[in-house]
Amino acid sequence: MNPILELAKERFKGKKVFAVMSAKGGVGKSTIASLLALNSSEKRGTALIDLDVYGNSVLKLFGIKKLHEVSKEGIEPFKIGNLSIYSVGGLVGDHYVVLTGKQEGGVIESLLGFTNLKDDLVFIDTPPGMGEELLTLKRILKPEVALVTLPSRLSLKTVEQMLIYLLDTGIKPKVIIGNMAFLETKNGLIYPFGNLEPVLKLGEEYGIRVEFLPIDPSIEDFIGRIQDYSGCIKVTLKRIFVS
Amino acid sequence: MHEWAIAMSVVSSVEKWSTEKNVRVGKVILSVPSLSMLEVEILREAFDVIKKDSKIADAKLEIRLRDQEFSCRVCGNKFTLGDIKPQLEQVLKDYGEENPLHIVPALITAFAKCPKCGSNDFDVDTSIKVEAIEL
Repeated sequence: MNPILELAKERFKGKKVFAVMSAKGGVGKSTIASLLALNSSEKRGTALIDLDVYGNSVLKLFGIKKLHEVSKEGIEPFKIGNLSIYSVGGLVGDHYVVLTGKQEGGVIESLLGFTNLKDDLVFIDTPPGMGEELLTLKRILKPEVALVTLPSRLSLKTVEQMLIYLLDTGIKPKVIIGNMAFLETKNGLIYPFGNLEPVLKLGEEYGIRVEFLPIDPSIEDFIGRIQDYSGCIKVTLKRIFVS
Repeated sequence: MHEWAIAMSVVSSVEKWSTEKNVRVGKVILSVPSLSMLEVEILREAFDVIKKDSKIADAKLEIRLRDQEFSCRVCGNKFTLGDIKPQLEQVLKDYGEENPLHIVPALITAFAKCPKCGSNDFDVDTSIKVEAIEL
């Protein structure tokens, strides 16, 4: 009997969990998860859990350099207004994380099990790929999924494999997000990955809504203080998730 | 401090099991990895407090500290906790009592290396598990 796994399941019982996923790295999962959670926290208490145990991008986005406090109830969150943030980075600080596959599962189980979760709405930033983290997450809960891809053909091919896997295991993503799809300039829109038709086609083939996010170079100025960003990516995400 | 959360998880898991099996639990044998540096007395105290409001109020807790065997996947070296003691002491020194290994023992490969070849690539069982339940 694995009590920590059971504890993790118990923690998430009755919670609405939204996981931002992609089989591909560098597609903007952490930024999207963070902005979604920030949007949500404007109206209600929201949790954001960073499961990317190697990158801990969420903490870097928010500029959090402290360590988590630990109470009788478990790991206490970093608070940004109504947003509660949890991350392995908040346990190890600047230290690198290197794990075998089996240990990866143990880390995810412990993080989810010991998170002193109070909020009913939870966003999860997942690591890229389809490794132990994904399997462990699925052992514990069944999330709603936003699947993120770049409009590049390479990214789409990889993401489609994850999509098929998710469908095979009974999870139909709510939305496919084509990130960094276009850049607005004085001379009109620029599409760095070419036309967006292949992303639309993927959504159509599997009956999943597709949405696109713009490129906003100004977001670079907000790395380390993403909570202050109110630009077009955040605004677009607000519109997508209201609808 | 999170010994309370562990105790809660044990009571809750065993209570669920005993309800499903419709049996009365006499003793819970919990196996914990030594490297987690858990405070056994706090864990026991927490278990005794939490169990009072559960269906396993009469159950006793036996805690077995497990001295793991580490097995390096690079050079094949087998080693023990004692062999990496200085590395664990460093973690304690850097982070204090609420250190990463105390909360998440599975992070061991991030903080320890094989004493023979220096690799982080080793196998070890860091799980906390209910080893047995006596009725």
